[in-house]
Amino acid sequence: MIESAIEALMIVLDPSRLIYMFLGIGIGVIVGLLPGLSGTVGMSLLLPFVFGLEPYVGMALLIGMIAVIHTGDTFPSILFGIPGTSGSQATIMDGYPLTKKGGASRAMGASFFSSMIGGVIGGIALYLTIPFARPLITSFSSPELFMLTMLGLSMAGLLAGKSPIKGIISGILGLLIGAVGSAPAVPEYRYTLDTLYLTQGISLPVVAMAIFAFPILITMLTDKGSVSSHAKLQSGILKGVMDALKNKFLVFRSAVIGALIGFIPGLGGSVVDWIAYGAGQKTVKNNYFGSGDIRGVIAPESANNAKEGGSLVPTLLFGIPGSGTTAILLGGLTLMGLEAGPKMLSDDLPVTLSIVWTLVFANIFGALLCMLLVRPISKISLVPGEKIVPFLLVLLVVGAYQSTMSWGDLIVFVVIGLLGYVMTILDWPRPPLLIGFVLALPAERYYWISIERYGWEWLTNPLVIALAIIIVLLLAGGTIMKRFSKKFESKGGI
Amino acid sequence: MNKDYLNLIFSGFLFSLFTFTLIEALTFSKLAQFFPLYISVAGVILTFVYFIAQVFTIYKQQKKEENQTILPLLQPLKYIGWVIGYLLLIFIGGLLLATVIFLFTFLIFESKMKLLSAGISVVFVLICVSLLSSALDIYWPTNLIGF
Repeated sequence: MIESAIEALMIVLDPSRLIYMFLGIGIGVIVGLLPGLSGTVGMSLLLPFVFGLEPYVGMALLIGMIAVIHTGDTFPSILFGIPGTSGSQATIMDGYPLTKKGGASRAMGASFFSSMIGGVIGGIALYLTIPFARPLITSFSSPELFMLTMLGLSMAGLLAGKSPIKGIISGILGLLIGAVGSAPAVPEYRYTLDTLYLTQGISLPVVAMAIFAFPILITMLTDKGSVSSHAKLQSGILKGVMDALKNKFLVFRSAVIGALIGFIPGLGGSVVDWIAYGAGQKTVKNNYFGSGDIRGVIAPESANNAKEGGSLVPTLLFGIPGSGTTAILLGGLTLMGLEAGPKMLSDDLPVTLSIVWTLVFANIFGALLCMLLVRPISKISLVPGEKIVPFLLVLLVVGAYQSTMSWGDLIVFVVIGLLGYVMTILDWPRPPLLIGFVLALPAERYYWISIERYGWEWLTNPLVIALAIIIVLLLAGGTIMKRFSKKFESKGGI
Repeated sequence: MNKDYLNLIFSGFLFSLFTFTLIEALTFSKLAQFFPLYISVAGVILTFVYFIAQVFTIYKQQKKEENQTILPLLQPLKYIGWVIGYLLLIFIGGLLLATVIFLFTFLIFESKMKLLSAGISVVFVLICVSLLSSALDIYWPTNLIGF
């Protein structure tokens, strides 16, 4: 396999193919930069062009784009607190407070470096799992998938902040918004208010933008100032890189979490950053996550790039797409005359390995490109709110409309945006709402399948028990650690 | 307005919302019902508990005559009005026309920009939107007559 990997490396480094990879990287960064545009939009844009292309060239273009979307989406998340894509929601939690303190460059330096390392680890994970991917994927059935959604939901509790009851209510509200539309178990519509738009459910990009971006727009206008409260931006790209290097184990841990969650089709990549963020919050000592802790940027950014490598395992090897983006990628494979499945490990192994290399290179070049853009782009955070908000609003309206190209998207944007604004001024945590929303459908679907198929027997499944223990440890461990540290502090520490 | 009173009103709103979804869930078939029903029940109980706790908080504060946080509402409402106004303009005149009117008036009246700067900014945005639309195959909201 090593020989095949070297052969694939030579193929990827061919200048004619490298150009396509750079083209993909450029488009990926732009798509990530623009709020509301996801990997699905980027893939749909490139798909017509891959028809008839040599597989190595086509994959360089598509994978180059996919790999860096979660690098480029960091700009709006850190600068404005607006998620560039659904995978960069958790980055806002500490990235935006850092920008307010004048540390945008530092946050972005740490973020891009972590993204690069995470992406490379994701590529390596893809390479390493190729020989034993089949038993790994097939070991996850609906009960385990349900427990994984519970693991994701437990993050809502962890992110509740000072008032757990507000966090739980917020999460429940998210679950309820996620229940709008067709029921997964029966052909029946719920809470559609007799409108056609709501029969499809509410789309994630609209909810994410509304709940985070709308309140920020209004707050920027009422506060009458720039995002950064400091008149001068601190130069800190290198400092951010050093921060990431100092927290190398956090980068690694988060990347492993990202790759592992990526393996599991259907769980939804949108939750990976929250899980990494929550895990980081529980494992990092003396943290102040939520108020501008650089480690709160490092954890989700490393995970969301690593996820891409993991998510390609079920897509390429079993033809099971884990997201809209990978579903379109499957279409791309067909257009290039390839077929997802075991053939990708035999006849088409060089193509699979070229994908691994492209992932690695695209993450490195994408991060470097973004680092070059940090200085000019972070100056935007110094522009007064009332001068930048109208332009952001135009961008957000166009972005929100791309979800289903329906007026319903805009109405939902305003309604949920108002809800988000009220929650912001009344100190209700918003991340649990989003986590609840993302996991509503998988939670219901996997619970229903588990009960229908296994009755209550699935509760005795060893993997289910192991996941339940992890959830309890995560929830209880945090509380115990907090109590210990409080006792320790009250005694004066060491 | 007093932040605690607003919190009380908000929790009351959430309680009503969860009650509505609970009643609505009872009309669904059994397989479509279990998930929203359980969630709604949990929501009703928790918001009720929070509502009562909030009433006690306000009562205690009034007894102690503590300083209360006052939230300004007029200014946010004005800006929310701008957002809704922009959407209404899109509905009537389409995105391009609405963007021109909204951006120009906002930049002049709220951002206090000079006419020339505001004009250049509007033209720049229109060029960007048009380029994005053709390059990235982006669609924009249409108006009443589908333009």
